[in-house]
Amino acid sequence: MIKGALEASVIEGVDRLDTEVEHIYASDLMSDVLAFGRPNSILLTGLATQQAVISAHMAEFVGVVFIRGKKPKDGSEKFAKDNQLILLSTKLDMYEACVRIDSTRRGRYSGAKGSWMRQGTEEMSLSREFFIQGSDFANAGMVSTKVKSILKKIGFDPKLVRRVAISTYEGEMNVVMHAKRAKVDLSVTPGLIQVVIEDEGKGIPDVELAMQEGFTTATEEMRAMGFGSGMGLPNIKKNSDELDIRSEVEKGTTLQMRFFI
Amino acid sequence: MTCMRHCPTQAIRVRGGKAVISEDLCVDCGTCISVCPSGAIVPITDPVEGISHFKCKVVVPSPVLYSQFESSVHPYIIHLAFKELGFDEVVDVSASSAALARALVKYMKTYRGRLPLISSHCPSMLRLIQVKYPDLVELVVPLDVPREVTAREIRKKLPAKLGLKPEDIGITYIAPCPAKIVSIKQPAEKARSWFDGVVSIDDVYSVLLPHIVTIKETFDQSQVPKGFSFNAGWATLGGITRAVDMENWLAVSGLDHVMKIFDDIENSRLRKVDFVEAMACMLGCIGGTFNVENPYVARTNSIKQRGKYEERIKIDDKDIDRKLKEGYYFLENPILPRPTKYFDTDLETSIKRMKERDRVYQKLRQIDCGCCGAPTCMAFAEDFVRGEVELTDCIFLAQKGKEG
Repeated sequence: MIKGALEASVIEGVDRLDTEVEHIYASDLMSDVLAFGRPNSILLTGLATQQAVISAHMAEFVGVVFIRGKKPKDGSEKFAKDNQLILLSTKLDMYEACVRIDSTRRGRYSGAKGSWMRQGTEEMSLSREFFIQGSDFANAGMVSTKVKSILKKIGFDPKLVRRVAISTYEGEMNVVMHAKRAKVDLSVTPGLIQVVIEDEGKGIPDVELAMQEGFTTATEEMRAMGFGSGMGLPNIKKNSDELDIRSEVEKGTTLQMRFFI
Repeated sequence: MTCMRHCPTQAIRVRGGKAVISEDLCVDCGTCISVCPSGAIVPITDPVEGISHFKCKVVVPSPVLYSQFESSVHPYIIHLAFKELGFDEVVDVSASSAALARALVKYMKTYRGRLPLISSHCPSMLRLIQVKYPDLVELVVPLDVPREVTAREIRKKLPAKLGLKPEDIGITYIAPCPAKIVSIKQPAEKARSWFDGVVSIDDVYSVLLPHIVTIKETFDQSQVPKGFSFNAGWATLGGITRAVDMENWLAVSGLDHVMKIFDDIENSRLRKVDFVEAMACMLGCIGGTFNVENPYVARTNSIKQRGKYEERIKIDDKDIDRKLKEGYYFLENPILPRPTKYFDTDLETSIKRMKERDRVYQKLRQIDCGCCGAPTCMAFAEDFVRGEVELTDCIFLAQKGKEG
């Protein structure tokens, strides 16, 4: 779960990833780790040396997460392996990593591939699947309208429903305009609404450029119909609490939008 | 059963052989009344003769009433017929609608908020927005409607003119639809309507018609007094936008079309529109449930009348500016969201019930037969998770239970 939340890569301990973690301890000062760290914690640190791994072992931690993409170069891996420690590396900085773990702990954050549902919360979560057909302008907006009606019936705040509806609609329009087809996954819990739109299509070569207001690849025809003003992705960014875009040219794009309640 | 199937907000259930209307969901559109084969659903209206205990009886007909007659019937004939029925004064809403149209233009000029704004004219639309589109409530123009402003003006000016007390004057409205009757009988956006009574167009039509026929035989154009002016008003869809002469407008009618437009507004898809005139009835108020004439015929009548009799109404700009400043044209109470609690106020319970609903729905035949008394299988599943029905109320599940 931590790996998912931090989008981390595994340096050591692939076979032990299901180990239970009781606490998180974040520090670059190993003396603090030894003084205040509690057993069965995981250490978040920017100190990419064997010293961190040894300290973690001494404090009876289950593993270490190196932040900002750091990886220890000395014999840390071997030491970890010998002492049954897990080593992860995340691109996030210390603050972001802590926030992500905290949100996950509260059952709010959906990790890149991991499940954001804790066991036991499944009962409270609702999932739905929808499909969008590319170039189907006649039905464009149907999925966001369905999503909206579900959220309204559950009784979410109208302002929140609106943010979700606008974001989903923009995502849906992008599929209709640019992709072949897409699957939309809606999941709802009392703390989080998540909409994932996964399309098969040409993908976005430069996501950063696509995020800029006014950038558009829409044809003249689409613009004549009032679409493709280059506000789609920026609008989603504005209306969602978190937005992840993953895209592969000639394969497709996945938009992951999250709304906190 | 027919009403249950036709209700656009699924507010009707058949329980114990009778239609039960949910007050929370009903938007007063009147669809059930027009489709009911046995005439079982009736609105509460007043006697046609006006409320007899008043010293002065005033009638304010909806401009729709004129469209119920051929264009060869001069509008003034209808005024004369009302007087023969026992009314002392007949007042049109045209002056107020012209003033309100101007007030709307002025309001929109200074308005800097979210767009498009939505007309407050149709009471059914107000209810629909409150119940199903609570997020759009802030877009409704908070201006009052012509009929109420008309009655208020009468109440202000007529007593002095006649030397009577305000309470001596009884004002009756002639309504084309149940929504307007409700808006007078149980007003939501004000403490009390300025009207004392309300009669439906179909009720008044039958008593009015014989008078009109006889008056018309001897009627001469020269009988029309100088002060009389006719205006088709906002009776037909597009009437408001025609009156305000706006550039980026959209006029939509019929509940399902309106809901599509409202969905678009919620998705922020409707981008180059500043004002939406939305009417529950097809073609606008001329499509109201209580009309006698087919709405398309009524529209033709109305267009012809416009060409023959309509005059431009003079507007006192300064008076409107002053009244706007005073807040005279605005609704007394704010329009508040009235979202329906389908399942529960608690999100966790609500999500659980939503899932339960889906599970129940999967068990059903999904043919929306309606035998259980709910309009669709989905509605039945929702009623079930709310604890209102038993699974055996579904004839298919009951059958299965017996076999099993």
